[in-house]
Amino acid sequence: MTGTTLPAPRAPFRPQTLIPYAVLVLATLPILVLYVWLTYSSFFPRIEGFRPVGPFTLENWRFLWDPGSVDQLRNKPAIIPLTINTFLFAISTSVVVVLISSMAGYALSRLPFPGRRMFLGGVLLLHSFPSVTLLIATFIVLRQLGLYDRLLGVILVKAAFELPFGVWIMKGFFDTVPWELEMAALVDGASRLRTWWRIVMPLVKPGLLALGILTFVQGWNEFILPFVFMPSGSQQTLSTFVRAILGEGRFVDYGLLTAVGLYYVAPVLVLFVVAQDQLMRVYAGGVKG
Amino acid sequence: MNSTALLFMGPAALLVILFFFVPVVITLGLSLTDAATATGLSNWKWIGLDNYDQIARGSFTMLIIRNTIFYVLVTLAFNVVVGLGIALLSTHVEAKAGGFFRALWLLPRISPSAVYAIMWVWAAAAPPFGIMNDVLSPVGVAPRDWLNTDPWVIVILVNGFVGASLGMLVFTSAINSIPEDLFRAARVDGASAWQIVRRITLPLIRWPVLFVLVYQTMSLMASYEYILLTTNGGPGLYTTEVWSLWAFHTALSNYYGNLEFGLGAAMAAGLVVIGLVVSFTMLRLFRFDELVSDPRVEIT
Amino acid sequence: MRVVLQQLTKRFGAVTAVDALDLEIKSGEFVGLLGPSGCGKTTTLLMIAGIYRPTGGAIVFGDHRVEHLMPKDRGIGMVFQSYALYPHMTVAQNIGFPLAMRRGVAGDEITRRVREAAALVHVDGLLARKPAQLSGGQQQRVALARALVKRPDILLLDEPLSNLDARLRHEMRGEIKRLQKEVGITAIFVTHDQLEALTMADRVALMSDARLQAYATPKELYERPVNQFVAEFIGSPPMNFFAAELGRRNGSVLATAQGIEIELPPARAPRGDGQRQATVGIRPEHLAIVAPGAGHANGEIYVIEPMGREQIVDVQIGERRLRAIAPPGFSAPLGASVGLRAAVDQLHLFDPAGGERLA
Ligand SMILES: Nc1ncnc2c1ncn2[C@@H]1O[C@H](COP(=O)(O)OP(=O)(O)OP(=O)(O)O)[C@@H](O)[C@H]1O
Ligand SMILES: [Mg+2]
Repeated sequence: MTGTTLPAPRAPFRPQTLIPYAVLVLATLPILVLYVWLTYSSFFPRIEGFRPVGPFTLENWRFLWDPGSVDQLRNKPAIIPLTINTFLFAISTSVVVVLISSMAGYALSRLPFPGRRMFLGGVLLLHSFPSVTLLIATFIVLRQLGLYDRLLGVILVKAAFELPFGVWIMKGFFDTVPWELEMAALVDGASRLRTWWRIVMPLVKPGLLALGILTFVQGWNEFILPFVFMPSGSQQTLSTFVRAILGEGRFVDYGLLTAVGLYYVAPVLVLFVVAQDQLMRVYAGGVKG
Repeated sequence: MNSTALLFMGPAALLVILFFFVPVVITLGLSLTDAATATGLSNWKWIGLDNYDQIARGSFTMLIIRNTIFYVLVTLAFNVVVGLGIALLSTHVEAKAGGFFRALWLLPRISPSAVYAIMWVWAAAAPPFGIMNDVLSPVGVAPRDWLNTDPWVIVILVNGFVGASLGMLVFTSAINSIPEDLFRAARVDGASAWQIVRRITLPLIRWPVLFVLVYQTMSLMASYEYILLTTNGGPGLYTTEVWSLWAFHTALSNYYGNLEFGLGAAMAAGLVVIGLVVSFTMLRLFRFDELVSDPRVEIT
Repeated sequence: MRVVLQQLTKRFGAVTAVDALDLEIKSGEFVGLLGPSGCGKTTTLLMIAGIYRPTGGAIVFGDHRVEHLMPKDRGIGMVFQSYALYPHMTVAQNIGFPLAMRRGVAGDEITRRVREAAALVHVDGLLARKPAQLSGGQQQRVALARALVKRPDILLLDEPLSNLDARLRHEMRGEIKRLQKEVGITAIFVTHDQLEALTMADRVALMSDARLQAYATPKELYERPVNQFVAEFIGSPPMNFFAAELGRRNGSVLATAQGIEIELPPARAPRGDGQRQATVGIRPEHLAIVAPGAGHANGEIYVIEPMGREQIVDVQIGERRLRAIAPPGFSAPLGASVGLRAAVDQLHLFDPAGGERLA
């Protein structure tokens, strides 16, 4: 038989194959519209539904270069120190969580010590435990430690709350490092501490990076903790700032609000686009988001 | 415990003790006191179960319990159904496209809650501003000021769109771990797409579904961030106030200026206990088998 | 350096991985630890290396017990089955790592010794590469260089050849043996491949089920296996066994089984009269195919497997089958009647009860 001379069968186009796409697009549209609208609103003096009123303008972004002229921002901290504060908070949380998680995660993955199973159970327990329920008591703890209304206090609380997730994720990454590498390092004369730092840590770099980015984003976004534990104006972060504008009551300047909101969310969006693969991996690895 | 293990576990243990163990104990202890800004933080005294008693008799307690149940159930249903739907659809379509849609669904979760809340508040704004009215009036929904007339709709949409991504992620990885051969075999056997979902996918991911149901129920009960940022329990008195927000308002943020730590702690204590019990059950049910392997290097 | 294991035991929970192992390795000796999968070879090696703590027994290096010493203080170099090269370091950094871990080794000395070690195993051209850019054989050599660079007293190798293809394995077999003799180091290597153990080792410790079965030179293991397990494990294709009755005729001992009758030479007969039954073992290479009636047994050809240099012939004798080796020229139709003649001075007799060697 000369099969090659027959015409190749062509798969008929079946419109049903498009249905899942249609449903996905429809379901996702609200999210997309929200973000597009946030962006759009920040460049017009006034928006009514889908119709901008007035020409394209950068008026709403004045808070960046001329905050004095914005009524709503009188008596509020300036945007640059706020941004720096937020960044400091996020980066410190991230560093603390990554460092402490990778130490504890390593111990739980690799070191024999009494109570290891109990610790593992504890980490998992805390991992699913809703830590916000402890806020009232945390308030008392911070006051006792003299860390209330101080950036350091909020950093420590935030780091503690993110820690079970971080430890669990890092343990997962350490579990993938072959035992023989570690045995080899010990035979080659390294101590356990050096083995961890020189051999194991470099091998879980992608994990460290992913956890670092994730906790940075969580810190950058955090609202409740600075809101409750850092009430004085000078120590505010962008989230409490946004909330303060929003909470002014009925005469909210939505142009300004969306501009500040976009300014605030932009770094996260950029990070998300750049590091999407890593973030998805960590999100999927630990259930908590 | 040897020194190496102590060195590695120490910092984590310290933070956990300071910000989990101690607060659990304090929450339970505090709930038996009358500590409040009115009494002064150092002037408190033990009052036994008075706080619990006060909650039980409170005229708003029933309303808030009803609110909480309503909020948790409806949001949970939204979360799980939508999460499952997105997971099924996004694993069904082309892998790249599926990943793209899942990324979009993650956006609310990775955005600052304050910004995400602004977007909804802005979308729900009264005519002529909010786009919700623009979208819904063509289908016959009268324009309105959503946050005042239908606050629950907004509360549930806000939380629903954030929470769905958890189920989506868990279900997606569960679906992806089903051997491809099972689907191929079913297709060869002539099963339709719906039959495959019904007979193969769903039965095989029932544990992840159960996990998400339990986990999400618990976190919805405990969380209030998005309600705080949108309706803040209003409009009016306690219209959308849920239990955890009530505890928060009572102890940490209210307009009367008297922060009642003791009473708030009593409210939170219930949640703390539920959280501990549920977490413990989940640990037994879902994960503990992963912990059993022992280290293969016996020296430190 | 001399290595002595005394009653060395390791238990993991209910599993006994190594059971009361006694072994003495002379200074400069090359010992192969041979045995089936799961018999406790790696566990033994890791105890010597100091990665596992023994449950009981002693490990002596030279004249000192070392159970309490950390791996880094034991003066050992080790090559792992997966080579365990550090993926994020270059070949030079990998080889230099054991030196870098030591206090007081200067940078230029490290460079010099890394070059030296690399030259020893012929990888001096690859120093700038990362492990992922090396072939299996090259990785193996780098691992060897890393194990040797700090001039350890003892070299441990865990299945060093099992990840290589057949050709490379043959090449490295010779290479490792040459290196060991050249450096003069005491070395222990683990393998489950008897050919590797027999060709490379000065002495072979054969383990099974956590216990030491035999410890002898390859020649002794092959020629005078101490029990049936050893006899069966060593040699390929494996030794034939059959149960036989022992009787006497004209002053010499006669072993008989269905269709088989062999008169044992005095050197291979059990002493005394007590033994009535024995398991007789004979290697395929000691069975020759002869004309029917001309040998010790008669049967039919069951199957012939040509192996190139020789042919393996299975011969059906009543209920049982014996395996013999025939020269390449041999040919016969299946089912053809043949005789089998045993080289009687190569027979082995074992006690059917415990498997111990009778003669
Ligand atoms: N860390 C451990 N925990 C529990 N059991 C172990 C451990 N390591 C080894 N074992 C058990 O001890 C026994 C011996 O294992 P070992 O690794 O020493 O075998 P081996 O002779 O090296 O086998 P192979 O040739 O397959 O590598 C096996 O039954 C194994 O399951
Ligand atoms: Mg092994």
